[in-house]
Formats: sequence, structure tokens, C-alpha cells
Amino acid sequence: MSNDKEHIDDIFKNHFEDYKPTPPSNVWSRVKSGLNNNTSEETLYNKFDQHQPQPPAWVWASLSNILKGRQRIKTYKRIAAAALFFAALGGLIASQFAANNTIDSLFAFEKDDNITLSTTPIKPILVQPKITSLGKSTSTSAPKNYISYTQVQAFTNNIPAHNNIVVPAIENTVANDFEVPVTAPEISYLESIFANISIPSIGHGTPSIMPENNFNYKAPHYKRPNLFETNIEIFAGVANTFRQLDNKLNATVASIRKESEESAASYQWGIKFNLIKNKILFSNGISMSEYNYKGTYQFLKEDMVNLHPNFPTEVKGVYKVEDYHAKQLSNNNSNVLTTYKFINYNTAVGYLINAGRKLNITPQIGVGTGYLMSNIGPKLQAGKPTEYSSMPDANSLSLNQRLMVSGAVALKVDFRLLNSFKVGIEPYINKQINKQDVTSPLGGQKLTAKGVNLTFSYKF
Amino acid sequence: MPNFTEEQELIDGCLVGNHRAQEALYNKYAAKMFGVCLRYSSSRMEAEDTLHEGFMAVFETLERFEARGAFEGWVRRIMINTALKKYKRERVYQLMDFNVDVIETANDSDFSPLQKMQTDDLIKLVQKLAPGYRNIFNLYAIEGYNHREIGEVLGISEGTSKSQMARARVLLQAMLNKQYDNANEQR
Repeated sequence: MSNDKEHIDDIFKNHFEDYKPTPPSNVWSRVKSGLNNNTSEETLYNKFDQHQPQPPAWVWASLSNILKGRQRIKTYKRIAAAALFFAALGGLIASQFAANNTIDSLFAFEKDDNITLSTTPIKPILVQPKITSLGKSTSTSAPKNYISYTQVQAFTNNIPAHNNIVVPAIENTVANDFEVPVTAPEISYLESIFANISIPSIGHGTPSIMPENNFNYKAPHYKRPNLFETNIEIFAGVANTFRQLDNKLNATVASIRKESEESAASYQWGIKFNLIKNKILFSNGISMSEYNYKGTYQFLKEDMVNLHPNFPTEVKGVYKVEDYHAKQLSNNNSNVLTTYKFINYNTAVGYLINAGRKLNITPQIGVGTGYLMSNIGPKLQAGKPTEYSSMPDANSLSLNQRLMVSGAVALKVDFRLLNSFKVGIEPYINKQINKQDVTSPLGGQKLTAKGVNLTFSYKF
Repeated sequence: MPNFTEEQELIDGCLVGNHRAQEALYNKYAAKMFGVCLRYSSSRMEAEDTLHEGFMAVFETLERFEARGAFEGWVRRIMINTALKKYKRERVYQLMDFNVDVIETANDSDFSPLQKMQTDDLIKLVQKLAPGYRNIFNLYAIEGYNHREIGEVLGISEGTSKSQMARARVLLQAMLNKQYDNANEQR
């Protein structure tokens, strides 16, 4: 029986497979006429395309800072840090302006998204140049006009809509067919707004005659949930940091001693302010980080630069200057433990990819400045050698403060748990450099951290 | 005057708004797509409307066609979507036009009348089905969708799709037998 039924299907299918009835010629005439009418629609799109919004002044200011920094890198290689600081400052200015919404004009014409030009509450005025039908409900108690439309929505506040049209929201022409109730005055208003552009075929097409409760009221959106978001994020994580010396620039120090280049565990924590606008992420934040470097410190000859601050003007205990120098030379490969603590300011920009309804992936790139707050050491480990560690102030041979600059790439994967909370993980690579003082023990350092942070953010 | 022989040339021509390319593309697919539209419509006039709306959608969304699949398949999907959209817009459930007794006593395994009929006649039978049944029959039997996919497309459950498909077959068989009997009586 089942096979018999399927047999019916096959016979129908075989008959229909190459069925090519000739359509009446008037269908092509209607299509052709519709295509000609659509030139007005094209005009509207052209207006979108031709509109090239001018970036506001802050964009130029930021670009100027970055270029200025670049020029300084080229001219005065040794103040690269300052140059990068300028770049970071540029990023900061940019992101702060972004937070004030002025970024809109840069991205106002991405055709795949709904965006608005104004920070004031936006009233969506239905609709768009392609209205497919106009109908009247059959409800006797509350008869209403309806308008069906596809594709483009126009938004306005108090200024005429044609000055503030944005958004070609072309997503799925075939599937998206919005219907919203309109009043006769609104239709007139629409016609007046689009007077110069003309709405093709208003009231044209197949009228929708439906009961009111059958309407699929989907649009317009006032604001899409993921379109504009500000959130506060706290993060913390561990990393593996590789310390490297720039021997080329640090020749003075390198000729005296040789330090090992090794990895050490580190951690960081901090807080960020994120703004997501049109899927672009702007992020500002501060973080604290620390890592303990345990390596070798080999003297090649007497280190006249890094003598104990009290030597050689003062002799403590039984040790004399000569003894100290002698110890330096004889204690090659001494173990040293150095603690680095930083406070960093970071700014980053990223692009938010919707990987699922609640899952986002955000690749980011950023720059930052870090301040090395303390460097306790080189501190000899207990007993190696005891004489050295027993010297006065041996545990704080130097207290250095240095400006570091950094660049980072990160990939945040976050999941929205509740409407306002997101939790995520963020693997990153961060490189910090300091080329300011090539003669100091900390001069010419590069710290490369590869780590992962756990992030919690709250949307407000 | 350009001679559009290759499909890609046609598409490119349409994308730049060349009217000859648009007409050539229409002429190339109109007949086949009209056949599709007829199957999803209750009348020839409705099929003409669907064909018109479908081709408008084709030209308006052509820039989004990605040359990864067959163009004809893409056009066909647009026609089907247009027809289904019309159905959703004008959802009027005309469930039964037929006498239940006739349906239930129909001989399911008698295919001889079906095999002798012309395609035009079969189209008319399909058009007599209520829109809901007609859509499911077309999507399942002709387009090759499964019931889960049909459920997603039409916003109904898989079970509803299965039961309505079975019903559509019975209705078609009943109509077929009735037509066959009438033809015999006239002889």
C-alpha cells in the first residue's frame, strides 16, 4: 500500500518534471514594467551609496597622533615608546568618541545591518521604497489599513526622514515580509517623505485581506539587541611570559653581563569598558599583572653600572668593594629571582561575530601602555651565596620604574547567560617592550605573554 | 547588440540592468517556472501573479546569487518561496471540497487513469487540492523535501505534514477515480 502511494507521487513527479507551459505574454510586460518602476528604488540606493559621510574631527586627530608616532619611530628610534604612546592615545580618543556615538557616521551605510544616525530616541517610520501590498483588515470592530513591505526600513526622529534615512536592511528578501498597521495620514506622510524618490507600486500587487489577528507583526525594530551595547567587564587569567633582552640596543649592559631568556608563569586581572556598535567592539581597560622571573645572571666583567647603591662609597660589614667585585666575577650563573609588577592601560578594537544566538566570537587587536611599578631584585635566592645575600639592601638593589608599551591580539569567545550577563574566555598574546633606557638593567626588555583570561561582563 | 548565450553573461547583464539580458533570462526560465507556479496555485491567474512576483524577486535579489549552485535551482526556490509566501499571506483554509465517502472508498491501487492523463489534467487536479494539502504534496512528492523540512518551511509539525500528505494522496486518488468514472459514463 505504501509503495502504491509512493507510486502516485512518482507518476505526478514524472509528469511535472519537464512540464513547461507557456506563460501569457502579459506576465513579462508586468515584470518589465516593474523593473522600470524600480529605477526609482535604485535611485534611493544610489543616494545611500553616494552619501560619503565625512569623518568627524576626532578621527583626524587620532590619525594624526598615530602618524606622528610613526614618524618619531623612524626619526628617533629610541623613543619608540613615546611614539606608540601617541598611537595608544589616538586609540583612546577614538574609543571615547565612539562611546559618545559619534562613530555612527563612519559606519552608517553598511547594508547588512540596521543602524541609525541619531542618539535620540528613534521613531521608525515604516518602511521603505518597496511596498508590496496594501490591505484592510476584516475586523468589524477595529478596521485598519495595513501595509506590507520588504527590505528597507527608514527611521526618523523629528527631522524629515529623507535627511536621516539609513539602513538598507537586506537580509532575506524572499522570507522577510513585514506588515505593520498604518493609518491613512501615515500613508500620506510616507508618500510625502518619498515624494522625490517615489514609492513604486504603493497599493500595487496582491492586496492582503486578512483578519487582524493573523498579522505577523515582526517589524520594525526600534533597536536590535546586539546593535548597541555597553558593558563593564572584569577579567582575570594566567599566562606564560617569555622575557627577552634586546642585546643589540642594550650593548652596554650586554657587555657586562649575560642574562638568561626564559619563560615564567604570570597572572593578570583587570577591568574593561566595552562598547559594541554595529558589531564593532571598542574596548578600554586597566589591568594589573605580575610575573616572577627566575633565571641566571652571568657577569662577564665587573659591573660598574649596577653596583650596590651604597658601594663603593660605603663599606658595610666585612665586605669591601674589592670583595664585592670579586664575588661578582666568581658567582657566574647565580640564580636570581626578579619580580615584575605592571599596571597597564589597554585599548582595543574588535569585530563581533555572532556564532550562535547567544554565542559571540570577537577577534581583537589592541595597543597599550604599561608602567613597571617595581622590580625587586636582582634578589639572590637564599644561600646562593650567603655572603652576597647578607649584604645590606641586597634585596632591593634596584627599584626601577619604567614605561612599557604593548601590542596585543586576542580572541574572545563569550556566551550570554542571562540577558545582561556574559561569561567568556579570551586567549591572547601580548608583547610589551621597553627601549627607553638602554643602559639600565631593565633597558631593552621584551616580555611576550601568552595567556587566557576568564571574563565576566555586565550590560548596562 | 549583445548575444547572451552563457548563463553567467545573462546574470552579469541583468546585474547591470541590461533589459535585453533581463528579457533573455525571463524567456529562458519562464515556461519551466510557470509550471512550478501552476502547481502551487489554485488557478492559472494566481500562477501568473506568482510568476510575476517571483521574477521580480529574482531580479531584485540577483546580486546575492552565489554561483555555487545551479542557477535554475535558485530561481526555482524563489518561485516556490514566493508561492508559499502568498499562501501564508492569504492563508485561507479550504480543507475539503470532496465527499468523504467517495474519498474513503477510493481504490488506492488503481493507477491506470492516472497514467493515461495529460500533465495539464494532473495540474488541474493538484490545483483543486486545498492550499495546505497542495503545498505539502508539492514539497514532498515533487521537490523532494522531507517532512521535517516541510514542517520548518510551513511552520507546522512534522506529524501534521505526514498526515496531510497522506490525506492529499487520498484526495488526489479520489478525484482521479471520479474523473475516470465520469469519462466511462460519457462513453
